[in-house]
Amino acid sequence: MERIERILKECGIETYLIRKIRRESTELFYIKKKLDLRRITDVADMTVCIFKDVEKDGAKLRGRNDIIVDESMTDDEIREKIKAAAFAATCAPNKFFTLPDPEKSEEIVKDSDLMGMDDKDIADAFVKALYEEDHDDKAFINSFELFVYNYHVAIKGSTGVDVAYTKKEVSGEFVAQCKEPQDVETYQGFEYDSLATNDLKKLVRDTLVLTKDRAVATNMPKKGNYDVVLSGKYLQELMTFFLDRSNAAYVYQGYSNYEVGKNIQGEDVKGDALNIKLGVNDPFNDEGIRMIERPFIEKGVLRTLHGAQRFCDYLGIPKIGTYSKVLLPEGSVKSDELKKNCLHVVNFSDFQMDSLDGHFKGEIRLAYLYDENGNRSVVTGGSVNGSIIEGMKDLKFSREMQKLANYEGPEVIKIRNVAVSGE
Amino acid sequence: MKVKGSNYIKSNKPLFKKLVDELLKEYEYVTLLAQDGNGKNYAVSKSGITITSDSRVLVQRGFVVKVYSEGCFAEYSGNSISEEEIGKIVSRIKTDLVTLEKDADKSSYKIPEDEAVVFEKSTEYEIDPDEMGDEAIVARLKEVFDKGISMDERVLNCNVRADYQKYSKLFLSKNKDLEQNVMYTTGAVMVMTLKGEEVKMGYGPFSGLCGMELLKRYDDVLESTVKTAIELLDSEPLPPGEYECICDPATTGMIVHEAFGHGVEMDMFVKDRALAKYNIGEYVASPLITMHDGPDLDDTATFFFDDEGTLCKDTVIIDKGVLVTGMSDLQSAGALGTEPTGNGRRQDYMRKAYTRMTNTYFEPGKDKLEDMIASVKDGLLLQEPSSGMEDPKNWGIQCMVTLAREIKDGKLTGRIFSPIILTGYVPDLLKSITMVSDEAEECGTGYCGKGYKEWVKVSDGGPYIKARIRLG
Repeated sequence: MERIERILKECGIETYLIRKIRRESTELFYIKKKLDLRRITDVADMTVCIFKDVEKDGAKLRGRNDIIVDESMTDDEIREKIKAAAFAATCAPNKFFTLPDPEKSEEIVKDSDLMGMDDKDIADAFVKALYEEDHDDKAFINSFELFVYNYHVAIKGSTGVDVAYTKKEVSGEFVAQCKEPQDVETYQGFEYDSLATNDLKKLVRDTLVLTKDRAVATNMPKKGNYDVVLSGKYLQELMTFFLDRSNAAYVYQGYSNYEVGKNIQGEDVKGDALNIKLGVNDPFNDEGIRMIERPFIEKGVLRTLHGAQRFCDYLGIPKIGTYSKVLLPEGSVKSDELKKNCLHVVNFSDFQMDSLDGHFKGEIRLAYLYDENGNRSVVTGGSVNGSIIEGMKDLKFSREMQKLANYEGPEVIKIRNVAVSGE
Repeated sequence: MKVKGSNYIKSNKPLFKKLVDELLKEYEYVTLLAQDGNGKNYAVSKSGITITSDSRVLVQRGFVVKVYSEGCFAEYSGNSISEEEIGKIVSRIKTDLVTLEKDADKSSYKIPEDEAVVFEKSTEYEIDPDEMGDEAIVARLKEVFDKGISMDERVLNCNVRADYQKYSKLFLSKNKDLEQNVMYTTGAVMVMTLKGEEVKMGYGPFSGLCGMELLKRYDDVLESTVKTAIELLDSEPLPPGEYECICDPATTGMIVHEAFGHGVEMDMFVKDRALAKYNIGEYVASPLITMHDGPDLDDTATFFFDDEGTLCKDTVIIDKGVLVTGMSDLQSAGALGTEPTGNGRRQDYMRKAYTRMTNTYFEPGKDKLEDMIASVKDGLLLQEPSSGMEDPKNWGIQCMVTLAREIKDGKLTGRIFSPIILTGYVPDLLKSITMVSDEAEECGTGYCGKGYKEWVKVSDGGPYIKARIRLG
C-alpha cells in the first residue's frame, strides 16, 4: 500500500482511497458422494479510488474513478493507470461531495470460532456435517459445493481513514434430489460466519423433506388471490425493498419518497407494525466508515436513511454507509396460526423483490395450500405476483425466529390478498 | 482493426510456460489459463456521471493452473507470478492442493486429449475506446441523456450506459499454445417514470463484438424506450391465465437461454440434473424451431477457444424441433464420453469452469411480424424481458417480462399489462410455436449465472415467435 501511496503522490493525486483485499479460499466440489474437483486460490489486489476536483461555471465539482491494481504491476504500469484514472475522474465531474471522516483502527479480527482453525479442518467439518444427514432412503444429495474464504481487508485514504479487518466465512450450495414418484430437485445455498455445522445439518434435513414433498406434488394452485405465506430466505429478499427505498441514491434520484420521520407503513395498519434495525456483518464498509447497529424503522416510521457517501452528502444526512442486513423482533403470532387458509410457498424458481415497482414475484416450485383448519396439500407450478407497497399495512410476522447472513428475524410472514396464477 | 494482445501475457508467457513445464514433471496433464481483462463502465443519469474501471467482471488479471492427479483434477488460482513464485506455487499444489480430502472417494477421469494446436487470433473493431477517450464517450452519453430527459416531462430519469471489455487469454498445455484477444461493447438506455410510489422502467439494450462504433445505436432505441416508460404509467395487472402470445426477439432470447439453454448444459447431464439427457433425438419443440449456440454470431460471447483450451464451434442444439445434442465443457465430456463443444467457461481465473452458453439463439423463420399479429384473435405481445431462472431438472419456466401489449382481433389495442411472469413446461411452450418471424435480433448486454453465481457474458435472441404461454 505504501508503494501505491508513493506513486499517487508522484502523480500529484491528493485525494484518494485505497482498499486492499487478499482473498484465500479452499474449495471442494462433490457429485453425489464423490469429490469431483479441489481448488485453492490466493489472490491479492487493490482498488484505488481517485478523486479530482474541477471548477465549472464557478461551481466546484468532484469526479471519481476507481481502478484495480495488483502487486505484479511495475511502478510504470501503475503510474500509467493512475494518470489515466485521474483524467477519467475529470471527465466525470459531479456536484461536490466530501469524503469519509477520519477513522483509525488496529486490524480487527472478526470474532468467530472459525478464526484459528485450519481451512482444511473447517472444510472437513462442513463436508462431514452435510453427508451425515444424507441417509434418507428416497431423497439424497445430488451435488455439493463448499467454499472456505479468508479475507484480509485494509482501507486507507487521504482524509485519515486507516482501518483493517480479517474474517473467515464459509459458503456453498447443495442440490437435493428425490427420484420417486417424480424425479425432482431442490437448490439450497448457505453462508455462515461461524462453525455452524448444526445449522447446515438442519438445512439439509429440511431440504430433503421439502424435496420429497415436491416429488409428490402434481397439481397447480387454482388461479386467484390468496393470503400468501413466505418463510426462510424469502424474507431476506423481501426486506431488500425497505433497504433500497431508504438508500440515499434512491431518494436523491426520486425513486423513493422516504425521509426520516415519514410513516412509511401509513395509517390504519391492520397487521404488525414494522420494527426493523440495521445490522452489521463487517466492521467497516468499502469507504472505511465504521458500521454499527442502528434503528431503522420503528412502528412503521423511518428513522434512518443510509447509502454511499456521495448521496448522503447530497441529501445532507449523516454519512453512515450502505447497509444490507436487517434485524427484526419476533412477530405477534405462532407460525402454525399463520399457516391457515393460505398458500405457503416454500420453494420458488427464483423469488425476486423489485424495489423500483414494489412487486415481489416468482414461479412456484413447491407450496403448501392450507385450509382454515390448518390441513395442507402440496401444489407446484403457477406463480406469485404481489405488491409490497399495497400489502405492507397488513403483514403478520411469526414468533419463531431465524438467522440468515443478511436477515435476523421472524421465520414466517403472511401477506394478504396476493395474485397467484395457476389452473 | 484487430484487438492487440496483452503486455502482461506477452511478458509473463515464459514464466507461465516454465510453471507448466515444472508441473509436468509431477503430473501427467497440466494446463494453464492466464487472462488480462480491462474495461470500463460509463453512465450518465440525473444522479451524475460515473466512469468506473473496477468492475470485477471486466477487470481481471491472473492465472489458473489445472493438474491431473490420481484420476481427478485440482486447480490453483493466483495473480502473482515470478521466478521465485513458480517454486512456491508448485510446492503449494503438492502439499496443500492435491492433498485436500485425500481419503475421500473421488471421481475418476481419463486424461483429456491434448491435440497440438498453436495460434493467436483477435476480433476486430473500428473505434478503440482508449483512442476515442473518456471525454468523448461521456459527451455522447450526455447528449443521449439530455435528449431523453427532455422528451417528456413525465420522464423521471434517463440512465444512459455504455460498457466495454477488452481481454486477452493465453492457454498452455504440453501441446497447446493458444492466444486470443477480444473486445465487445454494450449500451443501454433505462428510462424511469413514476406512478404513485411505483417506478416504471423502459429498457433499451444493444451490444456487439466491436468497439465504440456501437455508440451510434442509441438513436435506434431512445425514442421507443421513452415511449414504453410513459406507456407503463397506464399499465394494469394482468389477470393470470394461459394466453396466445407473440414474443419479441428479446423475450424469445430469454426463453432460448433460460428455459431451454440451461437444460442442455451437459455438466447437468453428469450430475443427473437435466431432463434433456433423456430426450436426445426426441421432438422437444415445434418443427419450425432450430437452435444454435456458438461463435457464428458476432456478439459479446464470441471467442476462439474456451477456458479449457477447446476450440469453439457452432453447435446445433435443436434441429427442426428435434434435440440433437447438448453443449459441453471438457471435464463433463470426459465423464459422458462425448466431444467437448467449446463451452467450458469461467467467471474469471479465480473460479472453476462449468458448461456455459455463449451466443444462443433460434434461427429466423418465414413469417412476417404483421401477419403474426393479425393472426391473434385474443392475445398478447410480450416485450422487454428482465430476468429468468433455469430449471433443467423439470424443464420449468420462470421468465419475467416488463410488459404485455393486448392484441384483439389481430390488432394492438394500446392496452398494457405489467409486470408479467411466464411459467409452464418448456417442451409444451416450444411445441406450441406456430409462427416464426423472418427477422431476428440478438443482444448481449446481460450476464448469465449458474444458479446464483458464476457470471459470464452471454448473448441470446432470435425471431418473434407465436406460442401459448401461461402468464401471471
